[in-house]
Parts: sequence; structure tokens; C-alpha cells
Amino acid sequence: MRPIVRVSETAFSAEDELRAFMRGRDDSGACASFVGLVRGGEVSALELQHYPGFTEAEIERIASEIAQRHSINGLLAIHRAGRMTPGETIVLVAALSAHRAAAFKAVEELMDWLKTDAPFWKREWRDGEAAWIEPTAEDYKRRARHDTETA
Amino acid sequence: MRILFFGRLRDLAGSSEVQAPDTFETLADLRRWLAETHAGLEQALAQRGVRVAIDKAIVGNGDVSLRSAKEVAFMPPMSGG
Repeated sequence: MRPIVRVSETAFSAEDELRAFMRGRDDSGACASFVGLVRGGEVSALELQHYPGFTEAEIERIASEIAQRHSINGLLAIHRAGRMTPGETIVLVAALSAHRAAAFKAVEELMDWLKTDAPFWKREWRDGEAAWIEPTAEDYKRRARHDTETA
Repeated sequence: MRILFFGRLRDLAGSSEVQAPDTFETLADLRRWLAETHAGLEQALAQRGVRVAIDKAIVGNGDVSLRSAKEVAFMPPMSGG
């Protein structure tokens, strides 16, 4: 099973992508999905840079590992790049499996990895000031927990 | 060869990409050239956590051959999405 991975410089519809992903999948009894939105509040805009070719290959490598570990029938990851404003869809991850537990796990693990380790470089605008963001200690701790669980 | 910068390094380099001569034997040669041509980049490139990819494959910290390399990317710590 080869995961479907895409990095999009333009807005995408999570609903349309999910519908297409699930169509005709009678091999699976479960589809779990996660949609990430750009959160408003202090942040007025954010920009994600990616390394075309490299970023997609890294996501596919990790997604394949996760899919294999949980006997996933289909795994989808679509991530935005470029400049975004609050309310926009930034990521969609979905997994198909025979039963729900595996699909939930796969989505959570891939999301955790995407949030901390995926090859993106993020810049946020607060009060008109732009700053580059690096992973938080909490992000790393969360990831270490999964590594222990799956070791 | 193409030299690519991401994140903070892109700001410091003043562009996302520069063209470097194909004559460098090793990564150290390229670093020296970048330090000479882009003031302010030398320290930033040597910082902990900055990773290098040659033709989209991450390389180690040691000096690495650039023979037949087409693309070298300098990547600050990845933020995730």
C-alpha cells in the first residue's frame, strides 16, 4: 500500500479529498480523518516553506512505516504550503482500515510526526511582526511517548 | 550547482536559491565560498541543528564530496507543519 501524499501551494477542500479517498473502499470498515485549520487569535497569518520533492518523500517514508505497523489499507496526507490565514485548512490526514482502532492510531501518529518533524519551515505573523517557529518541548515529549509505545 | 536555503537561512541569504560554481570538491569548499560571497551566512550555516542535503539526501556532519552533486540544500531545524 503506497500512501497518497501531496503538498499544495493552494487551498484544497478536505471534504472533496476525503470523499474521493473513501470512494469504493469496501475493503475497509473504518475511515478516521483529521483536518487541521489555521488557528486565529494572536496569529494573523502563517507561511510554510517546503522543499519540493524532499518534503513529499519524507512524508511518504514515515506514512509507509505507520501504515505497515497498523495494517492500514489506505493512508492520505495533504498538507498546505505557502501563506495562510486563520480558518484555512492546513492539513488533512485520513486512514482506512478493517477496524477503527488502527485507523485512529495511524492518523494520530502521522499527525504527531507532521506537527514536529516534517520538513517544513514555519513563520508566524503576530502584531505585524514575523518570526520563525521551531518545535516546542511539548511536541518532542509527545513524539518520544509514541516512540516508546511502538518500540 | 544549485544551492537552496530554507527558513531563517533564506532571509539571511537574501534569496531562496543561488547558483554556485561546479568546481567545489567538498562541502567545506562550498561553505568557504558561501562565507565569502554571503556575509552573515557563515555562522548561521555552522549552527547546531542546520542540516544539509545533497541531491535531496541528508548527509552527515563530516566533510562530504560534492563531486557530481547538482543541488545542495541548507535546512535549519524543521518546524513541522
